[in-house]
Amino acid sequence: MTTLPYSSPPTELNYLNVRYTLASWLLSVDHKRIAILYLLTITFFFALGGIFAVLIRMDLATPSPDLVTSETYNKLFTMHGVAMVFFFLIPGVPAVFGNFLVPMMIGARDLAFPRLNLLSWYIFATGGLFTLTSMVLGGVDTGWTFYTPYSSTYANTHVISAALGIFLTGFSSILTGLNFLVTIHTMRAPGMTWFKMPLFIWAHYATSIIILLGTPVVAIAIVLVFIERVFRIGIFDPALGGDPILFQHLFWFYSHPAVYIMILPSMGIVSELVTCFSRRRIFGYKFVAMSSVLIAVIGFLVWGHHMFVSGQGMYASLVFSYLSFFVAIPSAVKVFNWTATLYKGSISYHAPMLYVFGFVGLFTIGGLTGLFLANLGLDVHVHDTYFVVAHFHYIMVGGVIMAYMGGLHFWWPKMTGRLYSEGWARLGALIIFVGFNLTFFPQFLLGYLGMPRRYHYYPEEFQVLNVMSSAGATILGVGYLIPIVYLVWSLRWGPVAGPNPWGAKGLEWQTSSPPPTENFETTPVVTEEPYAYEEDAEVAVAH
Amino acid sequence: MHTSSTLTEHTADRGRAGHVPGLAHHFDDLAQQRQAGTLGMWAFLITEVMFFGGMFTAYAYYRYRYPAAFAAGSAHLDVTLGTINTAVLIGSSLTMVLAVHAAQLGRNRDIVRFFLMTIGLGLVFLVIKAFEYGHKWRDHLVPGRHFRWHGDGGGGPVQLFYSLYFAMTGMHALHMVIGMALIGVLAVMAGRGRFTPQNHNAVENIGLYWHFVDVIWIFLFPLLYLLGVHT
Amino acid sequence: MSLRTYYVVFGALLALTALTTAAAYVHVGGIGPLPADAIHLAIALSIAAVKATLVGLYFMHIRHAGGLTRLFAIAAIGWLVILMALTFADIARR
Repeated sequence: MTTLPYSSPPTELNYLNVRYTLASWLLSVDHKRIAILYLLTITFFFALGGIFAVLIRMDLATPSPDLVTSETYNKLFTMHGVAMVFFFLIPGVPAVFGNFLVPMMIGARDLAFPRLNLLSWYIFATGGLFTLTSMVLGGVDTGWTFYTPYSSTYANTHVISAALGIFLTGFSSILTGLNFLVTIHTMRAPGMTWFKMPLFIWAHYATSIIILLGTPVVAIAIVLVFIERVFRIGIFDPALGGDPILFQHLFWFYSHPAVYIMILPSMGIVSELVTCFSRRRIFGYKFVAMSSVLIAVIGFLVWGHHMFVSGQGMYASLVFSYLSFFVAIPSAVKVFNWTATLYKGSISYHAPMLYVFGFVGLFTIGGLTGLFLANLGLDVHVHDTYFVVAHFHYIMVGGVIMAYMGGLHFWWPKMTGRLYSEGWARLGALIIFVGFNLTFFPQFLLGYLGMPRRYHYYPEEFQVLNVMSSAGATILGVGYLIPIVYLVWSLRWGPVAGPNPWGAKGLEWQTSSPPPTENFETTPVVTEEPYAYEEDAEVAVAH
Repeated sequence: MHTSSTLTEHTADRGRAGHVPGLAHHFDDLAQQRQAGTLGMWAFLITEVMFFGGMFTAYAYYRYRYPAAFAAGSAHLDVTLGTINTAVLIGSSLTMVLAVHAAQLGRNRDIVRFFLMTIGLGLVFLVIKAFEYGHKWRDHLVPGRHFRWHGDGGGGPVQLFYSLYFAMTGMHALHMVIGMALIGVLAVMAGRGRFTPQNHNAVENIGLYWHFVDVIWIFLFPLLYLLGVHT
Repeated sequence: MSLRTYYVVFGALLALTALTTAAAYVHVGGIGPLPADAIHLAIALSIAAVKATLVGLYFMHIRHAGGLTRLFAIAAIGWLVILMALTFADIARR
C-alpha cells in the first residue's frame, strides 16, 4: 500500500455520489446501482440461510434430537436450501458481479434493457418477500426440491407462498439472463470481437443460455404443483394415474443445470483473477471459453442422475449415468488450463488469489466426488447420504462462494473506490478455507459410512465426525463475519483505490473507481487480446 | 456464430449521437436499439417455448400411457368450435401482420385499425373458449371434486386429460389476455402517431409475441380436439 | 414482404386447418406395426408443423431474419426435443 499510482479527486462524479436519495437508488436503472441492490438483498438471504445452517449443525452436535423437533428440523433444512439455492447461489454471481461488470467489461454504457434490469430486482425482492412470508408463518418442510405428491397434496406447511416466491425469483433470473445475452450480442465496444471477450463474459453468456432454456421448465413445474395444490386437481397425483416422477423430470431438467448457473459465472471470476495475480495470459483461451458453452449444453443431458433410486427406468439411468461423466471433460479443461496459466507466472498471494486457490482445490474435490455419484452402482449405495451433501457443498460453498468472495475482494475497489485491509482479508480467506474443510470433509466419511441426510438423530458412533463438522461450521461462520467487518470499515476509512489497484487488464479497470454513471468518459476501442499481461511481466502486483 | 461480424458492423462508427427521437441513452443508434429489441423478444420466445414445452411433455407422457382415456376425454370436446377458433386466431395473426406492415410504412392510423381488429378477433376467441369452459363445467368435466365420468377409459386418467386441457388452454388464454392488453397500449401510442418507419420496434415485437401464441394454438388444437374424433 | 404473400399464407393456413380437421374423420387402418391412432397423430402433427413453419417464416419474418434469429428458433426446438426425448427414455422403458 506504499505507492498509489492515482488518487481520484473527491469532487469527481461517480455512480455512487451522483445522487444520495433513497428514491435515486430504488428507481435507478444504472446497472451498477442495481448490482448493489442485489448485493444487499442476497447478503441478507445468505445470512438467513446461514442462520438455518447454524441451527442444523447445533442440533446435529449430539446424536439425540435435543434442540428442535423433527418437524422443525425438516423446516430448517428446507428453508436453508431454499434461501441458499434460490436466493443466494443462483442470483449470486450473475446478479451482483454480472450486473456490475458485463457492460463495463465489453465497453458498454449499460445493459441493453436497463428498466427490465430494475424490474428483475423488484420481482426478485417480491419473490423473496413471498418466501419470507412462508418462513415467518411457520415455514415449509418439503425439502428445497418440492417433490410431489408430498408438496402437492400432503404437506401441511406453507408450500404455496414458498413456491410462488421461487416462481417469481425464476422470472427475475430469466430477465437477467435475457439482458446479458442481448447485451453481449449487440453492445460490445468496437474491436471487442467474440474471441477478445474476457472469459467472465463467456461464462455469463453460457449461463444466460442455461437460464433461458432451463428456468421456464421449472417455472411450469412449480405452476403445476401450485394449481394441483390450490384447485385440488391432479397432474402428478398417483391416485388418478398421475406420475410424481414426471415432476422430478421437469424439476431436475432445470435444477441440475442450475448448478452450472451457479458455477459457470464463478469459473468466469476465477479466470479473471488467476491471470491477474499470476501476470500471465490465460492458457488455452479458446478452450476455456468453449468449455463454458460445452458445460451449458452437456449440463442439460444429465439430470436423471438425481433420480437413480426414484423409480426411474434402468435404461434411462444407464444413459444418464454415461452422459454425466462427460461433464467432467470441460470442467477438467478449465482446471488444467488455470493450473497451466500459473506455470512460470509471477504469482502474488493477495486475498482474491487465495480464494482462487481455494476454489480450484475444493472444486476439484467436489467435481471428482461427482464422478462417484454419476456411477450408477456406487450412487445406489451413497444416494441420499451425507456423501451427496458433502459433494454438492464442495461445489456450491467450496466452489461458488469461494469464487464469490474472491470476486468481491477483487472488484471491491472498483465498486466502492476503496481498498480494504489486505492482512485481515488474507486471514479471513484462510479461516474460511479451514472452516469449510472441517465442516464438510467429515461429511464425506459420514455418508460413506451410511449416515442418511435429512435426519436429525443418528447412531452414537457418528458423533465424533458430526462434532467435527459442527465445530468447522462455527469457524466457517466466523470466517464469513470477518469480511463484513473490514469491508464495511473500508467504506469510510479504507485508502482510496484509484482506477486500477491490481494493475489488471480488462476494460473495467480503464475507468475511474467508482465508475461514472455511463461507465466510460469515451467509448473504449479494443485493440489487444484479453489478459495481455506479459508485456509487463516483471511488474508483479504493486503493493 | 457467423452473424457476429454483421452485429459489430454498426458499432464501428459508434459515438454519442445527439438527440435522436426515441433513442435510449445507452444505445449508439436506432439500428443497435432495434437489433437489441428484436433479439430480446426472440430470447423471450425461447423461454415461452420451454414454458409450454413442460406442459407438452406432460401431455405426451400421459397420452402415451393412457391412449384410450385420452381419446375418450378428447371426444367430449367440440371439434366445430375448436376449428372455428383456430380460424379466428389465424385471422388475428393476419390482421397483426398487416399492422406490422403498416408500421413499416409509418401509417399510424392503419396500425390502430389493424390492432383493433386483432383485439376483436382475440375477444371472439376468448368468448368461444368461455362457452366451451361453461359446457365442460355443466358436464362435470372440470377436474376436482366436481368431476364425474361415466364413460370408459377410467375416471382418473380422463381427469388427467382434462387437467392438462385446462392448464394448457388456460395458460394459452392468459397469454392472449396479456397480449391484448399490450396491443391496447400500443394502439394508444399509434393513435398519437408514435411509430415511424425507422422506429416501430414495439409493434414488431408484439407481432412476434402474438404469432407465437398462435403457433401454440396450432399445436394445441389437433392434440386436444382431434384425438378422439376417429374412435 | 408484400401484402400478397400475407394473404396467400393466410389462405394456406385456413386450408390446412380444414385439412387437419377433415383428416381426423378419415378412417385409416394400421400400417404394419403402427396403429391407426399413431397415423392420425403423425398426420395431425405434420400439418401443425407445416402451419407453424408458415407462421414462423412469413408472419414472424424468419425468412428474412439473420442467422442468429434462426439459431434461436432452432435452439428452442432442440431443447424441447432434449426434454421430451430423455424423459421418454425413462418412461418408455421403465
